[in-house]
Amino acid sequence: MEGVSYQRFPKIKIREMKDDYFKFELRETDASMANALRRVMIAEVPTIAIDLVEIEANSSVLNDEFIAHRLGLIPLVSDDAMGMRFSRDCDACDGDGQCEYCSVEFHLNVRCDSDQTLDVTSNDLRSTEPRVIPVDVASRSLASESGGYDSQERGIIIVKLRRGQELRLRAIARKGIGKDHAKWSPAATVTFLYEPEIHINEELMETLTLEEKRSWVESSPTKVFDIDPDTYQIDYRFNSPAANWLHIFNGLPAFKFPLHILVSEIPYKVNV
Amino acid sequence: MEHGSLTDLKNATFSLMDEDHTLANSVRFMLNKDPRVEFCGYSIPHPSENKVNIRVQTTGDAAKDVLKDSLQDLILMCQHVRFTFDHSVSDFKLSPSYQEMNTDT
Repeated sequence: MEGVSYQRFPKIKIREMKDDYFKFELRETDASMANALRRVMIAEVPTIAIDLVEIEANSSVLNDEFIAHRLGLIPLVSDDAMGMRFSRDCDACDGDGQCEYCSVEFHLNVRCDSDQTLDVTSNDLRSTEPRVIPVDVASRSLASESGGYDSQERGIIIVKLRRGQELRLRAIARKGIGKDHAKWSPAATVTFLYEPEIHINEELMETLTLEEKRSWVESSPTKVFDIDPDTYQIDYRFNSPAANWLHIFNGLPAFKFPLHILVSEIPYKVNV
Repeated sequence: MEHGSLTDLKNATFSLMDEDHTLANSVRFMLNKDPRVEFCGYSIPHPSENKVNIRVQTTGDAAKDVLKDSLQDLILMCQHVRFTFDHSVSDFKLSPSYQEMNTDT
């Protein structure tokens, strides 16, 4: 590249990581970068969701399109989404969206023959591709292997049937993005916020009496400050709940911590 | 598509189809980092049309080259973030705080 580069190299620090929750700091860059990430996570990461439903028999209380909509919203394991084709640019089936490269077929066949109400759930969906199954079904089979989870836990309810009612259908799941329909959005919510920068005017603070300092500390709604019992100086509390997400200087012991929190670059973080 | 004059290369408006704030705002940020850029901004003329206009005015260099450079930088930055992210995740998985988090649940 012959051009000139003025870019910075952002840094990332992970705060928390769970299967369905993620929190990290992104530093040395700008809101536009974090916002682009956020927008991409919500609307442009491809996933798989049910897109076409052919109802063969439906005598339930819900109408066909209602059920089709509910099926679309069931989250499916989308690890294979990257390898799949969008049905609109699949040559194998002429954009039909019915071939193995761009679709996964599901079948559902349930009939209630008892006096008890029967719940039709995501468990009843039969996939033709074992790698694409409802997310809750997958996590349950994973948990039952390790033996910790309550295997009696039911799936996502699609409809309830009473005696004599029946639901039979064929569903086609396709690859898509959140921009086209929210059912393809992989994230429940993605937010980011600037990390607050706190400067305490030491000189002015010294002019306050102990009583005034106490009331100043009390005035913080989230109780992030404290008074040092030895020096009667205002301290930033590292272990307060509010400070937890503001915890940027974990290398420094609390008692040595100065009254300034200085950050050289504008930091902010992204919550996923 | 580039809108501008043949004689004045340093000022131009670029129309990008099928793009939105995600790209446009990031590019604008990269352009603003570049000292060769005198002015830049973007707009989406109509919300139901997938089009963004990016205006670039430079201090002398050709606007299209400056835009190309900033797009290149953006690609590099995204690659960097991707790499840094994977790195942090694998580091974090080894850290004691992650082990702690897992024993909680």
